Amino acid sequence: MIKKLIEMNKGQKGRVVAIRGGRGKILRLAEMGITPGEEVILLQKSLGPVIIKVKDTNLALGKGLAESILVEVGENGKN
Amino acid sequence: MEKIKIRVALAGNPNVGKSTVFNQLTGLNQHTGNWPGKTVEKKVGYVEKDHYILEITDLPGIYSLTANTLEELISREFIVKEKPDIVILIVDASALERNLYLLLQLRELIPNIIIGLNMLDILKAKRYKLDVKKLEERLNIPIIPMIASRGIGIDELINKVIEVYEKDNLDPTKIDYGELEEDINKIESILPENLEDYPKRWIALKLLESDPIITDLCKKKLKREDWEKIKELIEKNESNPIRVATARYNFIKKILEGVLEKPEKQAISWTEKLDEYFTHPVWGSFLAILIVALIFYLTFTLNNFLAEPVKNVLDFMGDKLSSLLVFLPNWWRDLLIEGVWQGIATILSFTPLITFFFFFLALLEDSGYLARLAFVSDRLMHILGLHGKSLIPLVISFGCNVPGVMATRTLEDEKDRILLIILDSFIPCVPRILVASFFLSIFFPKQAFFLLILLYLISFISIFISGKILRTKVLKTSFNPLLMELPIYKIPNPKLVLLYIWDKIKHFLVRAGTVMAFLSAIIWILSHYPTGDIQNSILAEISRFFSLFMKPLGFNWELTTGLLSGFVAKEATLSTLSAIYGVSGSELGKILLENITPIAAFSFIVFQLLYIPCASTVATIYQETKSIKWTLFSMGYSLMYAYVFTFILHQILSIIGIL
Repeated sequence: MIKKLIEMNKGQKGRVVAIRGGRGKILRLAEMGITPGEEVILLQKSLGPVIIKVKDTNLALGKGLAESILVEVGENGKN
Repeated sequence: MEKIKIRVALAGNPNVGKSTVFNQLTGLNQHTGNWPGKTVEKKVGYVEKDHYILEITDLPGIYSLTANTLEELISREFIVKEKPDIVILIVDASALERNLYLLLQLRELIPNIIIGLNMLDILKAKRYKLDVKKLEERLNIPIIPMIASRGIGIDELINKVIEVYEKDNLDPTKIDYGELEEDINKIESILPENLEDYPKRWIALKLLESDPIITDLCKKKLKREDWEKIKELIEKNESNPIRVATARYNFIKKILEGVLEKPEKQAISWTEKLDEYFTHPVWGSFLAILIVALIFYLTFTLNNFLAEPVKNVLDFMGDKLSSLLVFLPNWWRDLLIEGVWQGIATILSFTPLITFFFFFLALLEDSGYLARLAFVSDRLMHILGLHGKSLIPLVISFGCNVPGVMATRTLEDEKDRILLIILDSFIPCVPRILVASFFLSIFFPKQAFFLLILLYLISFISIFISGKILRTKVLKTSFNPLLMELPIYKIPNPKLVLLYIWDKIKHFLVRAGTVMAFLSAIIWILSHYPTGDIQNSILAEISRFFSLFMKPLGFNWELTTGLLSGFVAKEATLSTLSAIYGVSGSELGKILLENITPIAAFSFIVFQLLYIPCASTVATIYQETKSIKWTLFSMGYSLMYAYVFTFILHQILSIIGIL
C-alpha cells in the first residue's frame, strides 16, 4: 500500500517510492539520505513535523516535507 | 628555522563532532571571524608540530557541496579557490552511509583527503562491526580512527597530515557513476579547459545535478553551440539530479559491502529511549516549556545576583578613571567618563547575562536537546511564519534582545537569520516593559494589567505582520521548512562549553563595546552641548524639530527627547524625562499627567515598545550580521513600522475617543 510519509503510524516501516516537488527539494532530501528505494521508520509524530530514521540517522521533517514523500508500507499497517 | 605552513581545511556533516576535533586540535589558539561579506562564522586555528605549522580552517558543517545553502557554497569556493593542501573530512562512523556522501563530492574536487573516522564509541554501542583497514584500501584514502570527545586520534591526525603533506601522492579511488558515466564523459569532452579552476568532471556532475551557479557559469562562458549540446544532455532526463545522488549511494553501498556489518536486530539506543519522552507530542511540549522557563528564570535570576556587584565595580572603575583624568578640562573629562566610559560600562554590565545565557545555550546545544526543542515547537512557530529553531532567540529576547540576537546563530540559513534578527527587536525586553509599566501605572492604574497583556499582543502581531512584509518584499524568501538531523544525546564536554562561552563573550565585548562607546559619546555630546544643560542642548533642539513629525502621534518635544536618549538604553527614557522636568518618581508622574493626554501616553508606550532597539542591541546586530546595510535597515524598518503602527493607533483612539 502506498501512502504519504505523514500518514504512517508510529513505529511503522516503509520504503520510499517517490518524492514530489522541485529538483532542489528532491536533491536536498536525497543528500540527507532520503532517496527512492530507501527504508524509513517513523519514530515520532506530532501535530506538525515527524521524526524518521533513515540511513542510521534520525531526521525531523516539517509537515510539508513529510506530506510530499510517498512510501510503500505492508498491508494492515504492518511491515 | 622558518616553519613550514600546511594549509588544512576541516570539513564534515553537522553533528559529527567536527567542532570538537577543531577545538581539541587548536585549543585557545584560534580566532573567529566571518567569511568575507557573509554572516557565516569562520574559524581558523593553528597547531605547531616539529618544523610545521598547521593552519586549520574550520569549514561550516554541510551535507553536500551543492549550492543549496550559503554554507555549502562557502565550503566549495574555499576548496576550489584557496586550494588547501589537505582536507580533513570528519565522518560519523555510526552513520557512515550518509557521511560518505560528502566524501564522494569532495573527492571530485580535491585528491588530498584524510578521513577522521569519529564516534567509534557510538559505533560500538550500536554493535556495528567496521573493518577500517578494508575501507581504507577500497577508498584508497588514509583513515584515522577517532573518539574526539575523549581526545583519541587527535595526535595521529596531526601526524597523518604531515605525512601526507610530505609525500603528496594521494590518488583516491575513482567514483563509478554507473549508467551516468557515458553522459558525464560526453559533457567533459565538450567543456573547455580551465573553467574557473573547477575540475571538469566535477562541473559535469554539477550540471547533471542542475546546480544553479555552475549552470549559469557554463551558460555564460561556453560557446553557444557547445552549451546547446550540453543542455540537451542535461535535460534529456528530468530526474538527472536524483540519478546522480542515487549513483553515489549505490557506490557507497558497494564500498561498504563486507566492510560494515550491522546486527540483525538493532539495539534501542539511549537517544531513542529519551526521545520517547522529549519528542512526545504531550510530554515533549510539557518538558520543553519546563526547560525553557527554567533557563529563562535561571539566566535572569543569576544575572540579578551579580548585577549589583558588577555595577559597583564598574562605578568604582568609573570614579578611578575620573580621578586619573583630572588633568583634562572638565568638558573633555565628562565626555570621556559620562559618554565613552558609560557606553563601555553598559556593554560590560551585560557580561554576566551573556555568560549565563550562553552557558545554558551551550548545554542545550552540546547535549543535543536544542534540536528536540526545535522539533517540539515547530508547529507553534509556524503560526508566526517561522520554524522551530526560532523559539530560543525569541524567548530569550523577552529578557533582553542582546542575547536574543546572538542566539540566532543556531539558524543555518542566512536569510532566516537576518529575518529573525530584525523580528527579535519587536519582542519587548524587560527595560521597555519597565518604562511601559511606569506610564501605565500613572495614566491607567486600574487597567494596567490588561493593557500590559495588550502590549505583548501588539508585539506578537508586529512580528507576524513584519515577518510577512520582510519575507515577501525584502528578503524574498520563505522560511525554510524544518529538515534537520536529531543528533545523539551526550553529556556536554566542559572544555567545549567554556570555549564556546569565551568565544561569544570575547567578541561581544570587543565589537559591541566599540560601537557602543561611539554611540554613547555622540548622545552625550548632543545632550550636553553647548551649555551642559539638557533643556538647551542640541538633543533638545533636534527633538523640537522631530516633534513636528511626532505631533500626529501626540508627542511633545520632551517625550521625543526621552525617545532619542532611550536609544542608548531603554530605561534612560525615564531618567531623561526626569532631567528635563527636573523631578523624578511620582512627582514626574504628576507633571506628565498635566502635560500629556492619555491617548498620547498610550501611543507613547506603544511607540517606545516598537521603535529602534537599544544601542547595545544595534551594536550586537552589527556584530552578528557584519553588515552596515542590515544594521541600518533593521533600525530604519523598526522606526518606520513603529511610526505607522502608532499613527494608525493614535488616529483610531482619537476617533472613537476611548481612554
